[in-house]
Amino acid sequence: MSQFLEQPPYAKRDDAAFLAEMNALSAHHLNGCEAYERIWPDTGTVECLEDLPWLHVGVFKHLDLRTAVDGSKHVRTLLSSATSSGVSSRIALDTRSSAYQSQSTLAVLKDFIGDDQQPLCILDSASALRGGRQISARIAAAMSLKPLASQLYFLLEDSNDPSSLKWPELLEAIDGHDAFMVYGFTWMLWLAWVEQVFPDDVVKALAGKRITFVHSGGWKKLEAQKVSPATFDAKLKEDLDPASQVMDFYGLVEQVGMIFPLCPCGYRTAPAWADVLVRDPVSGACLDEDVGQLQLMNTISWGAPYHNVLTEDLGRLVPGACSCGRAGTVFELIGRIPKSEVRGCANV
Amino acid sequence: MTNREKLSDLLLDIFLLEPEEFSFDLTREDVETWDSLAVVSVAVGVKETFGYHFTPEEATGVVRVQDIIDLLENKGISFAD
Repeated sequence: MSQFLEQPPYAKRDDAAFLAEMNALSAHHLNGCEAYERIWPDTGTVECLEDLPWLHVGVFKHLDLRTAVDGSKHVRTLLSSATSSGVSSRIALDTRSSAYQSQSTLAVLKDFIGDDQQPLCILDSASALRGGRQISARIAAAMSLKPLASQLYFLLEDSNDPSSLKWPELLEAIDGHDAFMVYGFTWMLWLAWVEQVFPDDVVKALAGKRITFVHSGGWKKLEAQKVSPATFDAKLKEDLDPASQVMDFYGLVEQVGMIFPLCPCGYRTAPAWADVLVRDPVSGACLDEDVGQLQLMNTISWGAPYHNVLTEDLGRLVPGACSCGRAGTVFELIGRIPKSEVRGCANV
Repeated sequence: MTNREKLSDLLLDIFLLEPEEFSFDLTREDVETWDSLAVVSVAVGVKETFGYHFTPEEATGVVRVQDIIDLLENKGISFAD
């Protein structure tokens, strides 16, 4: 158990204690995961975060990494969205980490959107829940909102067809509720919710409702539409209660359980149980403020060594505390490294 | 198809069980794949199959297959067939 999960997500933390937990977690994976130990042989305790052993996200496409210790149980595998290479990352989920991951996402979500339970409409099909032992990135992201849901509604007939919205299902969700949530991948939310012509009875039922839209997955698939985030938000909120909101969060399957919502200042802040470094893509040196490759780390990943991952996403650290008042490492997500694979994570 | 058959088909699919592994006496402890995702899948599957929407408390309170039957019978869906 990470001691940090017991405190508010954006409270000031003891950085030495965080480093100690990361060292302990690295030792746990080095002891229990042979492949990881082969990559980082003879690695001991380190004195700073940048010296901790890490893995590039691409490793998870090629190695079936899992950390096996007494009592560990891996029940399902989380798959990243399809990539241009057609190879998905595979993250082995264990029961222990799953509990921490739920706790982590819930704490962050509550900090941003409150803890009222509301109906949750998911822009996916119910059949996507039945992937055998495999879970899609989209379902995993949607399920992170489940603790805030009073009822779940899967709005699509076909997971990949934005025009397959099930109107009776949506009307059922709206009926009798002034407020509800809608989750979808960014491109799906735009195509299914904004670009579609809604039937008159649905438009009438939606008018004045307070909707919290939550989306993730990035903007790359909307490049052709040239949609700016401001337009995206404004279109979604048209004709709704002015208290409606749109939350854009960054996350990737190789950091399952970690979500980084965009705050009103335009930045993202790592919660107490996580941290972010930025590395020069060529030299690997850590950068203070320049744009580079984001490296994400957390203290909640026990089932496989995805606790410290170098992403293919570009960003920069923002010095000092964010004006939104959240303590923690602040960063700006800029986009994907050019020529990296297109997929639903940070395709900004 | 009887309601018992409909329910067993649904749960075989969600829990990834072979027919010979299934019984109406199963509990959450017996089934490795009866995790939080399966809890959601059961709730959604029950709605699609029987038309009843579990409340979150009902969904998370289900720890035996018999609990699902009891909840549905209380809503007038008979499993006496």
